[in-house]
Amino acid sequence: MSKGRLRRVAAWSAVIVLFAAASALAMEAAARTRTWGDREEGEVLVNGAVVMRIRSAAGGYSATQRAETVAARLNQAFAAGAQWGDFRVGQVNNETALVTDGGKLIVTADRFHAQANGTTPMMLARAWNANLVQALGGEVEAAAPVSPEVNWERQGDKIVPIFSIGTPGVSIGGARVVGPAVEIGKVKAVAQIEANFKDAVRAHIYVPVSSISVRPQRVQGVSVEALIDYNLPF
Amino acid sequence: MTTLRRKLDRRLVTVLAGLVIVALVGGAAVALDIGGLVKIFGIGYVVQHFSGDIDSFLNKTLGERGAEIRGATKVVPILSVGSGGFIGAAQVVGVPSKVETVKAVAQVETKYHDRFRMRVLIPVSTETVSGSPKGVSGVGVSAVLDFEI
Repeated sequence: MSKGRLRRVAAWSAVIVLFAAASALAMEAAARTRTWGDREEGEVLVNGAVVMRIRSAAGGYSATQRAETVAARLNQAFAAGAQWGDFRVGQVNNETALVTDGGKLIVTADRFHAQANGTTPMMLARAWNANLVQALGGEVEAAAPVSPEVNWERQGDKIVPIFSIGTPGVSIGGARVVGPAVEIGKVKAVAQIEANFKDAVRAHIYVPVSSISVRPQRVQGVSVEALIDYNLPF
Repeated sequence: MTTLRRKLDRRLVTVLAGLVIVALVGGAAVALDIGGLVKIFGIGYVVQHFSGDIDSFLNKTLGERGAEIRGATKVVPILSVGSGGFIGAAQVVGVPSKVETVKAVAQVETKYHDRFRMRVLIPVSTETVSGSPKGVSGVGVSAVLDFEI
């Protein structure tokens, strides 16, 4: 092979390698309409993969228009150099949202969408983040997938102690918990979390847990059916 | 012509007076805290108007502690089966389609082995209960809320 021909092959090979590398690094968000039954939904795609679905119109914008807004925000973030590790779950206007590391809003995980996915806003935002990370070729670690198939049917019950999250050694009553038989078997206690809403509503939150500790491990699918107090004999 | 103008003036004054009253009442409602609203309008009204905010607050609190619920949630009033009145509120949890149907939580007080007092909390699909309330299957209670008046 002549030297000139060798140079041309080398040059073309370099161009092909660079093109392939550029394609692999390309990050692009887009939106499209999806019809689900008689309803229009907006899908947000990153590098061709669906990362989230906007299921309703709001604020005068259709579901597709809202998906387009989300795609535009993602493209702005990509243009500013955002990579797969630069997105996180945060709070915007007291609502759970997917935001950039700099705190810029990408999309709000509102209650409607959370309920439509059978989950909470926090879990939905995490799932969206996980989808985004995967679409960008990153590694999904803490982002737990949405599990809309958690079974909440009452197949069994059990009475367990309630302990305050502040003082795990002290039992402050009992609770009858209900749920699927397998999950009920895992429950060791109910952790009680106290919280105040606007200084006027005192909340006692009950978390069925698999161990007694200050960091409760919730047993999903199990809820409280009754609260039990002991009447002192004096 | 003059009569028509007078009629129009009267209507304008009535409309303006109405707007002023609405603004004053609305302002007073905003200025009141939740405890004040409970005193004036009752627990049912407050739960109806703040259920979304309270539900988000509870889910956020759980999220901060790594104890998120994988299911739909909703805040509804607690109904006393004995007195029939609203005595508080509860966050219910479960399958989305079932949670949607829940309108209240019925509370039945009973004794357990004499020494124990048991408050049974039953999510129901009606806003009134009598006799033995029938619960909505697949829905349970996640939190109980007391209003400080």
